[in-house]
Amino acid sequence: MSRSLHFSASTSVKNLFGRGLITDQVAAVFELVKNSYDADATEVEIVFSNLKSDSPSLKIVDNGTGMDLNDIENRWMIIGTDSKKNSMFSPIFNRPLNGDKGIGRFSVDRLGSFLHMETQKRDSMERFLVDFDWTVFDGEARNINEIEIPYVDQKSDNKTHGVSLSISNLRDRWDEGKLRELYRNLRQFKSPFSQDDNFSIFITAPELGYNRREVTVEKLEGVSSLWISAEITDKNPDIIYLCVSKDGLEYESTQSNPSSFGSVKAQVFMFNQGDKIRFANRYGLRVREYGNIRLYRDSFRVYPYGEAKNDWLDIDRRQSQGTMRFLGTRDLIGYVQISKENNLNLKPLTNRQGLEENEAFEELRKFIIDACIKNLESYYFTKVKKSVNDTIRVAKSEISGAVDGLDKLAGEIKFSNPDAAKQIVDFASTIKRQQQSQMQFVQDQQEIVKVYSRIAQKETFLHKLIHQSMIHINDANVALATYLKNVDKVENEDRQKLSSIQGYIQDALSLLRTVRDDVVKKRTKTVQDLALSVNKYIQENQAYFSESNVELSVMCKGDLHYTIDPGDIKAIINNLSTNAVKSLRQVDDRTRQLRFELYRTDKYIIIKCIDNGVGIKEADRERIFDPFQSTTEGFGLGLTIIDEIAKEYGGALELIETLVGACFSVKLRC
Amino acid sequence: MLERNILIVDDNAKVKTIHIPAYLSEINSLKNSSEKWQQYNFNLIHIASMKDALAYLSVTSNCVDVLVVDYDFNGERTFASGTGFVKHIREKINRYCQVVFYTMQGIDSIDRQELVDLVNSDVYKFVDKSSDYSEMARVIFDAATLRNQIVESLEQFFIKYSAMLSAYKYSLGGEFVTFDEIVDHIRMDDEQGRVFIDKLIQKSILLNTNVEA
Repeated sequence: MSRSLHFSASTSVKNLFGRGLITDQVAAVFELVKNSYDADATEVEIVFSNLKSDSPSLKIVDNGTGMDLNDIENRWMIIGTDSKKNSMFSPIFNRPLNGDKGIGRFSVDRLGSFLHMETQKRDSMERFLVDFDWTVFDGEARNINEIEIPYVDQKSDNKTHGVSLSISNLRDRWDEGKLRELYRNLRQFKSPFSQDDNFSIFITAPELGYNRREVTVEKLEGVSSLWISAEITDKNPDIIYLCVSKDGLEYESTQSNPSSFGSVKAQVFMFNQGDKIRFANRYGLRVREYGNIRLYRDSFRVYPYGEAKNDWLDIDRRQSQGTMRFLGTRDLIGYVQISKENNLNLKPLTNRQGLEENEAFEELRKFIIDACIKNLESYYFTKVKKSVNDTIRVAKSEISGAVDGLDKLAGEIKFSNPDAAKQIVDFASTIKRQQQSQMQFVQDQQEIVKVYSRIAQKETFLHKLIHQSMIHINDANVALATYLKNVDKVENEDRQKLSSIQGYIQDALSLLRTVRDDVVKKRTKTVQDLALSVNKYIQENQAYFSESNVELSVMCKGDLHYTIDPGDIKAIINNLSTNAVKSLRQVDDRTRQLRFELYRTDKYIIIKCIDNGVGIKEADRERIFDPFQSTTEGFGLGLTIIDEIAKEYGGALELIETLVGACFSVKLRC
Repeated sequence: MLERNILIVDDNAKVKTIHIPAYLSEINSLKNSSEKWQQYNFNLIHIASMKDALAYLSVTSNCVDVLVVDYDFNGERTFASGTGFVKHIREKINRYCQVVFYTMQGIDSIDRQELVDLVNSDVYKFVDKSSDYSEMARVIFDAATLRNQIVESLEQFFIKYSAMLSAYKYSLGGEFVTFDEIVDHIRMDDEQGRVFIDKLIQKSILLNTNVEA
C-alpha cells in the first residue's frame, strides 16, 4: 500500500536559522539593513535606547515598501520563503536584491528575545502590529506552527510606509566599543563604489553620543599615495582597464582578460609608512586592524572576505616568499565589486558567510592578485620606467660607450697585465653602477616635477574657482541686501524669510573667505617670534575671551623663533582658541580655563592648546579632522586648516587624551 | 551742487545693476546724516575693461574724482592686473583723483611688490570685496569728499568753460599752452601744473589783500 509522509518543523528550527546561522550581533544588524535596502527604503535608522540601563532596546526603522497581512503571513512567517528568488532587482529603485535565502528575518531573534513589529505597506492605510516572544519557541520542542503570534490590525491616518522592528531583552551588550565596531562595519558594509545609491544608514544612541549619525564610506584616495583601480566591463569583457595613481599622478593602461567570471571593479590601496600613520590618525585603527581586500556583491559586503584575519587571497603567504618583492595584507586595503546580475557563477553560501569555492571564484582571486596586487608591486618596488630626455640619453650612451671601451681594454691587457685589467674592470663597473643610480635619481626628479606641476595646476584652478564663486555669491548678497533695504512693501513674514536666506548667503561667503584666507592663500614665510605672536593675538582678542569668562594663560619656554607665514600662526591660534571657547561656553560648573603651551623639542616647535571644556566625544574623535565635520555651530574647517598648516611645515595636529576637556597639539618641524 | 564722479573699473558686469544701486543707497543715507553733505551729488559710472577706462580717463573733459579699481580682469591683457592700470594712471593721466583699490582675492594674496607699487601710487584705501558693501560705499563717500579743493575747483572751472576757452592760450613759463593742457598738468601735479597753481594763488592773494603801510 502506498502512502506519503510529511516533514514538519520543530520550534528549534527557528534557532537553527536565527541564532545558529547568524552568530554575530553586528552581522544580525547587517541582515536587517539589507532587508531595508531590498525593500526600496531610502533610509534606515538604527536606534539604541537606554543603553546604560537594565532594559536597553534596539529599534530598526525603515521607510521601505513595508508589508500587508498577506506578506507577513505567507512570506515573512514561512521559513525559507524567498520572495526575492524570482526577481533580480527591487521594483522601485531597481536595486540588485541582496537577500536570497529568506532567513534574514531571524536576525531579530539573534538580537533580542522580544520583537514588536509595526509595518504598513506602501500606498496602504492599514498598519499591522505584531509581537513575537522568541522565548516561547525555546521551551519544550513543539511543532513550530502550533505557536500563536498575536497581531493587531489598525487603520492608519497617514501613508507612512515601512517596517519598524523594536527589539527588547537584548541578548548582547552594546557598549561604546561595540557601537564603534558596528559603525565601522556598517561603513565598510556599503560598497565604496555605490556612494550615490539613495540609501542612507543612520545610527542613534544618545547615551553614547550618536545623534542620528550617518554611516558614510571611507575615501582612501586622500590617505594612500599609491593605489590601483581595475575594471572589466560588460561591453569589453576581454580587456582589463587599469589606472594606477602614484603621488597624484595617474598611469592608465590595459591588459587582456583571461578569465570569464564576468564584469568586476576593484580598487586596491597600498600604504607606506607615512600613509599608515595618516590612516591611523584619521580612522583610529591601524591598516592591519582594518582588514585587507574586501568583497562586495552589489551594494553590500560579503563576509568574511578581507576581515583582519581573513587572508582569502593568500597575500601573506606570497609575501613570505620575498618581503622586498611582495606586499602583505598589512600594507593593503581594497574593495572588489561583483554583482548578482553579471557574476552568475559567483554564488553566495546559505549562511551568507562567503561565496562557493568554485572555478569562477578561483578566477576572481587570480584577477585580484594579477591585475591589482602585482601591478601595485611593480610600481612600488621597481620605479616606473619613463623615457628620459635627449641630453640624458646622449650622456648615457657616451658613458656606456666608455665603459664598453674600458671592458675591451681590460680584455686586451688581461694576459699582459692582469692586475691592471682587473682594476679597469672594477672602475668600469663602478662607473656603470653610478650611472644607473644617477639615471634613477633623474627619473625620480622628473616624477616629482610632474607631481608638483599637476598640483600647481589644480591649485590655480581652485583659486579661480573660489574667486569666481565669491563674486557670484557676493552679487547675490548685495542684491538681496539692497532689495530688503529699499523695498518697503515686503510682508514681515517674507522679510524674515528673505533675511534668513541672506544669512545663508553670507554664511557661504564667509566659508569661502575662510578657505581663501587660510587654506589656499599664498604664503610668505619670515622669521617670527611665536611667543610674541601668541601674546599679541591674545591681547588683541582679550574682549572675546573676557565676554566668555575664559581665564587664559600662556606658557612659553625656550627660543620660539620660527620661519612661518604670520597669517599661518594667527590661523593656528585663532582656530584653536575659537574651538576651545565654543567648548568652554558649554560648561558652567567650573572656572573656564584655556592654556597655551609653547616649547621647542629637538625636532619640533610644539603649540598645545588645553581647555577644561566639554571635550570631544569618543564618537566624534575619528571625524573631527575631516573637513566640514563640526561639533559646534561652525563650518567645521578649523581643525582642517590647522592640520593643513601643520603639514605645510612638516608637522602634524594631534588630539591628546585628557581626563577633562580637550588638548590639541600642533607640531611644526624645526 | 558739488558734483562727484566716481568711476568703477571692474570686469564684473553686475556692478552696474547690483552694486552701484547698493552703493548709491548707502551714500544717500550718509548724505542725509549731515547738512554739510547735502550739496554733494554723486555720479557712479561703471566701465568693465581697463582699456575702455583708459580711453575714458584720457578725455580731459571727463572729470573723475574717485577711481575704484578691481585687481582681477579675466582675460584682459591691457595690463597684467589692476595694479598696473593704477600705476599707469598715476604716471600718465591723473595724480590727484582718489584711488580705491578693491579685490575679491584678499589683500594677502597680492604680491608684495604689487602692494608696494600701489602704496607708491598713492592709493587711498584697499578694500576686500567680500566685506559688507556698506563699507565700500563709506570708503567711496569719504574719498569723494576728501578731495584737494583747489585742484577740484580748477578742474571744474576749466571743464565748465572749456568751449569758451578753447580759442585762447595761456603763457606758462614762456610757453603757450591750451587750457585743456593746463588741466592735464594740474592733474599730473607736474612742474607746469604747480607753477600755474602757485601763480594763481599769489595773484589771488595779492589782489584780495589790503596791505597796510
